[in-house]
This record gives sequence, C-alpha cells and structure tokens, in this order.
Amino acid sequence: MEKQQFDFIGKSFDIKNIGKATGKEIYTCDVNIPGQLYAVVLRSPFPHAEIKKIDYSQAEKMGAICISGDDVPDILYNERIVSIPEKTYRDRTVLPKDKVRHVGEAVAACAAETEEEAFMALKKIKVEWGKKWRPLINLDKAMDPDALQIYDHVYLGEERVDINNNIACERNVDVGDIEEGFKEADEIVERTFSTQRVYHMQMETKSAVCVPEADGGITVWTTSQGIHNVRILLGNIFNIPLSKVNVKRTTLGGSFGSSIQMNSITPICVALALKAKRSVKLVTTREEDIYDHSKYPLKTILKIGAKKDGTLTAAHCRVWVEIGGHNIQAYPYLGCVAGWFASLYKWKNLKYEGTAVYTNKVPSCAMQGYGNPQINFAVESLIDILAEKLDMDPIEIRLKNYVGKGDEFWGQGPTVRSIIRSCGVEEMLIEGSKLAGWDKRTLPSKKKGDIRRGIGVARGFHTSGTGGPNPGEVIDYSGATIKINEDGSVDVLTALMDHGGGTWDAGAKVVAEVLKVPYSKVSIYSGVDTRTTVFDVNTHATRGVYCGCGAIKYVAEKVKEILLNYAATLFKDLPENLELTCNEELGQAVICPRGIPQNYMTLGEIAEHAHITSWGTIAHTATLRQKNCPPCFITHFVEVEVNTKTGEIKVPRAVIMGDSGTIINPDLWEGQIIGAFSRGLGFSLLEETKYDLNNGKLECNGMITDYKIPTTIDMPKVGSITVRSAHTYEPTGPFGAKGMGEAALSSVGSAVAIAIYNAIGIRFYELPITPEKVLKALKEKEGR
Amino acid sequence: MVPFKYISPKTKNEVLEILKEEKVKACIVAGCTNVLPNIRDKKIVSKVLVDISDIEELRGISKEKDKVCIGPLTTIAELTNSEAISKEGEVLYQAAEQFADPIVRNNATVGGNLVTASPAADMAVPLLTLDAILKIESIERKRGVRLKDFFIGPEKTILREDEMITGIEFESSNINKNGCFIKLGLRKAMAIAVASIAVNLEVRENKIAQVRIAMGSVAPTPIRLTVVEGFLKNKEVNSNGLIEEAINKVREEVDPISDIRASAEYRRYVSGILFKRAFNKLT
Repeated sequence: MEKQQFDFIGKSFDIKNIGKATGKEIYTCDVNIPGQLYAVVLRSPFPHAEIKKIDYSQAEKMGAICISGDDVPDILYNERIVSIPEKTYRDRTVLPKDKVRHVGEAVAACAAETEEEAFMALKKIKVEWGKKWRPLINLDKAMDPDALQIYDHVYLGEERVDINNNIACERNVDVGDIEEGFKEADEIVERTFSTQRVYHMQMETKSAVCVPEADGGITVWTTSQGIHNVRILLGNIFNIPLSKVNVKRTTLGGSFGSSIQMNSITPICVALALKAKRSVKLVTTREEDIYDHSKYPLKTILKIGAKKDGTLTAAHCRVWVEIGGHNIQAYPYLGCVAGWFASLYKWKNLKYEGTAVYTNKVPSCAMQGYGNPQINFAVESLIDILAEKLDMDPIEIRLKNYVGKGDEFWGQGPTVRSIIRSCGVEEMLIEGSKLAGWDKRTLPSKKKGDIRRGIGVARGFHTSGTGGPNPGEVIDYSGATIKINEDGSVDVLTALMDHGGGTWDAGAKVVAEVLKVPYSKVSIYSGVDTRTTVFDVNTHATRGVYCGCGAIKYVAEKVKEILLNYAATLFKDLPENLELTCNEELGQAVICPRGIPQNYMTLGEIAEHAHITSWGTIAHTATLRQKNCPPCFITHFVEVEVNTKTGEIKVPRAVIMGDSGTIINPDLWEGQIIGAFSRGLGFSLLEETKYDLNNGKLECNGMITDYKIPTTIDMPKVGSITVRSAHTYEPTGPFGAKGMGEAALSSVGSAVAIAIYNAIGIRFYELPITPEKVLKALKEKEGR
Repeated sequence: MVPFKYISPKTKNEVLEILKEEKVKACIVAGCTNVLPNIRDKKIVSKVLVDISDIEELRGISKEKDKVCIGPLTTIAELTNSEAISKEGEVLYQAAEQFADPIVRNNATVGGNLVTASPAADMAVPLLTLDAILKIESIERKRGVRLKDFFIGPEKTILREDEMITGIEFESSNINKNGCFIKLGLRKAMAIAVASIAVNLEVRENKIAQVRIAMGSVAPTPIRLTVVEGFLKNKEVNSNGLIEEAINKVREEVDPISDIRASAEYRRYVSGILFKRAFNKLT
C-alpha cells in the first residue's frame, strides 16, 4: 500500500510533556495528602520459613498502625489479571499468613506520623519464626522429587491444583509430527541454552498513596502500567464496590514490565489506610525493589532439523523456567515462549514442552519481551550453527525460512494467532547487510592479534498487542473519551499508560491527524483516573500504539463524524460534502464545503457555536478490541571487539533495522531502539542477580553499587549506531502503525553472542557472556 | 533507616576535640559517597557523623618547591583540574579522570578514599606509586606515615580513633612524572575495579633506575608489588623475556579473592596483563 501523507504522524515536535523536562511532573512518590501517615514494610530475612506469630503491640504503643497476615483479607489472588480468570493461578494474599517463600517478602507493615517514627516502630515488631528451611535456588534441586514443597496447593481459576515437585504449571504444544520431520532432515543440531535472571532497574521504585474516603471507598495513586486492573483487584480483595474504588493515572517513571501486575505494596498501603482510617503513603527503596521482581530466566534444550538446501523440517523445544516464590504469570509466559519460538521460522513440525518451577527467589515477572529475548537467544544461535554446518550464509538461511507475510503469527501463545499482513524482514536483512558491510565478514579462523573483531546478525520480533480474530486467553481492549472543547482544543481521556516511550505523544498525534487539530491543542497528559475513563487493559505486550492508539483513533473518527454532522447543519450542506483540514496559519482545524476553501469555519468557531446555542458537546466515548496481533520485526547487525588477553568485550558498531509499519514518533522510536540495545547489552554481557545458595539472599544485597547495568559510555558512539526503518504499512494498525518496544530487545543477545563467535570462534550458550567466561573459554580452546 | 547524631565543626581543632571525645563512635564524613551507601547497607550504624566539609584549611592542592601537597578534602574533580597534579603526578591525574562519574568526582574526596581503605581504592593505587606520605594529627600529636604502611586490612588502617589525615604529600621527582594507571572494571564508568594498576618508572641509560608498582582489588589492601620492583630494578628495559618473567612474578605476588565482580583466578591472570599494558606504555 502507498504511504499516506500525514500532517502530524511521523513528525517530531518540541517536547509536549514539558513537566518531565522541568521536573514538575507528578509521580506517585510526589503525591502528598494533608495529614497522611508514612508506611514502611518489614521484610523477611529468610528464604523459606514458617511464621508462627507476629506481635506488633509494642509498635502500636508508639502510636503506629500495624498490619500482619492476620489483618488482611483471606482472599487468595493473582496480582496480574490480564489473562482470563480460568487461566489465572492464584497463590498469594496481601501479606503471607503462614510462611514466607523468598528473602525480601513482606511480612508486616506499619504507618506512623513520620517516616522516621514508622521505622522506629517497625523495629518493635516481633516475628516469631517457626521452621526455617534451606532455600531451593536451583531449578534441578527444586524439581527433585525429594525436595521440600514450596506450595502444597494453589488455585487455577476456581479449581484447586495440587503442586508436585514444585512444578507451578506446564504447557505443551504439538504441530505436525516431529519424528517424521527429523527423518526428513539431512542435518540435525541440538544444544542447551540458558539465560539468567536480571533486574528491571526501572527509574521509579514502586510507590502507593491511599486515601480512605468518607463513603467507605478509596482513592489510590500507584505505580502501575494499567490502572483499571488495579481497581478491579483492590475492589475484589477489600470487598469494595468498584464505583467506590478510584485509581488515579499517574506518570510512570519507567517499568520495563515490572508493573503489569498490581505491585505487592499497593494492597499493603490500602490495608494500612483502611485500618488507620487515614491517608497512607508508601514509597519503597531500591533495595526493596530489587527484592520485589526479576526477569524470567530460561533454560532451553533446542533441537532442529533441516534439509541440505536449508529448508527446515522439524524443531523440538523444551524449556524450564524457575519463577521464584510466587506464580505471577508463568502459564501465559510458557504459552508466549511457545509462540515466539513457533513464529520465528517455518519449522513445519514442532513440539514444545514448557515447565515452570517454584524456587525460593524473588518472583519473576514480565520484562521487555516476556520470554522473547530468552528463546530468541536459543533459536538464533542454533540457526547460526545450522547455517555453518550446511555451509550457508546466515542471511540466506533466514530468508529461506522466516515466518512472514501471509503466515500465521502467535502473538500471545497458541491461543492468540493472526495472519501477518505487513513484513519488512527481507528488506531489513538485505538492506541491513549492505549497511553493516556483511560481505566483508571473515571467518573466525582468519582473525589475528590480541583484539579480534567479529560481526553477527540476528533477527527477532515482538507482537503488537494480544488481540486475535477470536479472543484467546488474554484480555485486550482499550478505550477513550474524546471531546472538543469550546475553543476547538481537544481533551483525550484515556486510561492508556505511557512508560516513557511516547505512547501519549502517539495518541495525541493520532487525534490531531484525525481531527486535523494542531498537535499542541490536543491534551492527553494528565488528570484522569479509573472513574473518568473506560477500561484499558494495560500498556504491555508492545500494544500501546497498535491497540491503545488504535482505540483512540476509532473514537476520534466517531467524534469527527459527529463534528461533520453538526457542521453540516451550519453549512446547510451534507457532511460528506465538507472537508476537514488543518490550517497552519490559523493554528486551527477548519471545515469548508469541498472546493470552496474561502468559505471556511474554524473548529473553534463551530465548537463555540455548539456551546452558545446549547447544542451540546462534540464528544464520544468507546472501547475497541484489535482483532490482530501484527509482529513488529527487528534485525540486529552487531560488531564486537574481543580482547583475547582479558576477555573484555566492546561493541564499537551496530546497524539496527526496525519494522513498525508507519512510525508515529520517529525520534522516540529511534530512542526506544537504542535504549533497548543498551538494556540488551546488559542482558548479554553484564547483568545477573546472583543468589547466595545458603541463605537465599542476593549477592548484591539489594545494592545497585553491586548490580551494574551499562552506562552511556559502554554504548557504541552516537555516529556508530545506525537505525533504519523498513518501508511497510500495517493495514490493521492506526495509520499503518504497529509496535516496537519489546521487539527492539529481542535479538540483541543473540546477535552479540554470534558476533563473539565470529571474532574468536567460540560459541557461548549461557548469558551473560562475561570477560571471565570468555577468558576461560579461550584458555580451554588453546589447551585443546 | 537508622537515626544519626550529626555534628558540623568549623575548625580542624574542633574536629580533633570531637574525635578525642567520641572516639570509636565518631565517623568523619565529607563527600559521603561511601558513607551514605554504607549507611543504607547497614554497614555503618549508631555513629556520630562528623561533617568536616566546611573546613577550608583541609582543602586544596599546593605545589611547593620539591613536593606537592594535597588537602584531604580535595575532591577528585579538583585533581582533574590541577596542573600540579597532571605535571608532577600524572598517574594520579589519570586515576582521577577514570574515577566513578562526574557527580561522584565532584563530591568524593581524596582523604575519604584513603580512609575508607577499600582494597579497590582508586586513589590509593596511584598514591602508592607516588610514594605518598600522609600527615596525621590528633589533638595530642602529629605524625607522618608512608602510604604503603597505612593500610592493614580490608577497610582497616593504622589510623587511631582520635586521629585524622590532614595532608597528603608526594615528591616532585623524575619518577613521579612518568606514571601510568589502568583500571579494569565491568563497565566503563561507575565501576568498582576488578583489578587496577599504577606503575611509575624512571629509566636511565636504557636501564630501570627506579620502579614502583601498585595494584588494587588483588589483595586485602591496595598493595605495592615490591618483589616485582626488586626484580626489575637495574635491568635493561628491553632485555629478552623481561616482561614475561615480570608478568609471572606479578601473578605470584598478588593475593586476590573471589567476589561478586570476579574470581581470584581471573584477577590473578589479568594482573599480569595489566602490568604488561602499563609497562609498555611507559617504555
């Protein structure tokens, strides 16, 4: 399809969200209510222990309000309600009632007039611990039939599920017949891969403020990627009608997936406020935050078969994930990993077996890709190995087998599938290889010297949202109210959340484009809550632009219809004969009869007319479910420099090709791709939350002085990162757009590992690839 | 969170009086780039924080005719802006430039870095090869101590509870002008060294007239590698196999541990590589 001409889409404007630039933006931790109490949380020093009794009488004598497991509702819940109820595992209460399952798990909390008093009171809370057990840290030990059970049983929807061998859930998928597929293969390769736990390191630590209202309701500000789900959960847990639970949409200081679920401290803050009958504020520290969430690690055994010409015939993928002390979303995670695996290449026959296992570690949750970077590392590494065995160019083998236009894409596991309608994979591989100088690539055996350069290519994708032709296991819809103000400016009321990636900017541009109102006159940035907005599931799954802004566009078009109908009465003409354009000189949208531009009225004049004649407000409210989940594609060409004397790895250059269909925010789009590259380098080379096997504590002790992520100067220099967009148009997306966010990270680790192989001829199957591992592998290679 | 008593004296004598009074309870603070994280990590509890950052007499760099004097309150950023440091003690200048990040460099002080006595201390390593002398005072007496005799263990020094560092000096000499500092970290900024090295070298008539080598993060304290120094002294700079033999001796002399950043084995190995890099840069 030809690209349309746009007034606002695809253009960069001055910073719209000026509050962030000036420091005036209000985040949850900036919210203060007169007379509020300050809350702090007592956390478990033990990885797995029985709570016999908690005595907080001494703390209450000091004037503090305290809660423990005995004070919170008996409701067993799952903090993430994005999946449908019958596919949601429930294993937790607001505070644990019988035992703790990881170091750092909240066991009690107290609120007092000042933060200092709260801390002093916290010290007076006495916990009588019962049995204490050695932590189950490793996957294999946790699955041992003789291992201690972390849970006896949990609930799946309303059904009781007994837990055996600490297996939280399993998921298997079969397509075709892999035995037949492997029989057809001329070459079969099999390897084991593993990726590590890493910490989200979002800028904002989790916070909450709760005001108990006079009518028995609550008003809550909290760090969240989706305020409506927080509302529903709080209503359910505390048995308050949803009309009396109001959750404010507050600007988010980043999240990377860590606030898809309702944060563990949110209901703690609410429970304290309800008990105190006073407003309570709870802001967590970085140390508490590191002990609150983590990326899902993944162990993968992957086997693939291909014919001599590179045609794939079968794949068998077995994965294990250790999820920590609570099951937040392991079941959909296993489904999504199956989907990312199934949608990378045309395997023809595939078998997938996934197992999630409880351990005594920080609960894992979604983080930038939801299993995608993890499984991509296995698949892309093994495809590279296969290409070498078949003596094929890595680009050629990918072009031969990729899942593209007309094929089926599993956007959210096996139950959410849609047909791919836009695909830039071929263009990105071919154009990218030219930009990266792929043809100058030499074999590892040709490299000389202490410092060796290598180049690697890997491709990936992510879904845009979780919609399919039929609703699957995942809830996915968004909505908005859009109204034209009396001066022709526009208010957009939506619960859609912006992580900092520009989702709101995109929403404003979409509205501006539909209504031809100058971008600066569209307001979307503040002042809404669950009471003033219709449902939006969450900004996750790279759905902000495709689903969130898709819904906004749908509503804006309805508003346009109402506007043109009303204008038609003023022009004494038919609405279809009227033309809506943006008049830059006037800084206004204008309407005129087609072909008679001098006979115009501005949107301001029309809106004012509607107002003074008491006609009403030109406005509309609706929700929309997207019925597709188009993949946004990415391709990474990464160059590395390996110092063979110290094992240090530098990344001097990268070419990154992205396919988002129409790009709504080009500057922020590029920023997301480069930002994800930085996080991807951390994932590939540096980051890991290591545990002490004996006491279950993090080796960094929660301190980021000992948990490093890459800095700006660990990145290639500005001119050495080339980011280019494919020329595609997604017919089902708003103005041809699909997502980017998580796709941008999916193949970084794979490309880096492949580039390291190209530099020194050594394959790495385990992330992160640290200098120490490189040096050890080099020594082993020399010793052979 | 832990409550603290906080005092902010205005003169050096006031500080020394407080130290005499509070003894082991006192904890001198200035830039706070180590103290605050240690408070958060509960490594420092129930101390009296004695904030000396207002005491101007302890701040600044001065060049006297045969030596350079650095006040303990001098920030790392001030070192990177000092001509005296870049000319007379380039090894310190290089280390200062690689220290943490600009925000930390603006706050962290040279004295604080030494007193913290981290095995990784980035200021200690170059000051060891400059053979710096510390001026130490208590209300009762003054003494001078060579930096190489100052550290006695991880976070342990010979400083008595009533003493503080009041000055750091090093000679203006040929060897001090020719130095090289290299730090190996897990990332390029804001990193605690996996291993670091400083070498100062004076070559006369193609022979090693004087050499000082110090390393960080490879022993319980920042150390001088005196065995390697002794081995190199009076050798011809370009003699065959010299570096290889020295590398082996470096690996023998260091005494690293395994921690969250690297294993002892890795540290021992890269110590040799760092030595080679630094030595080659100076010859």
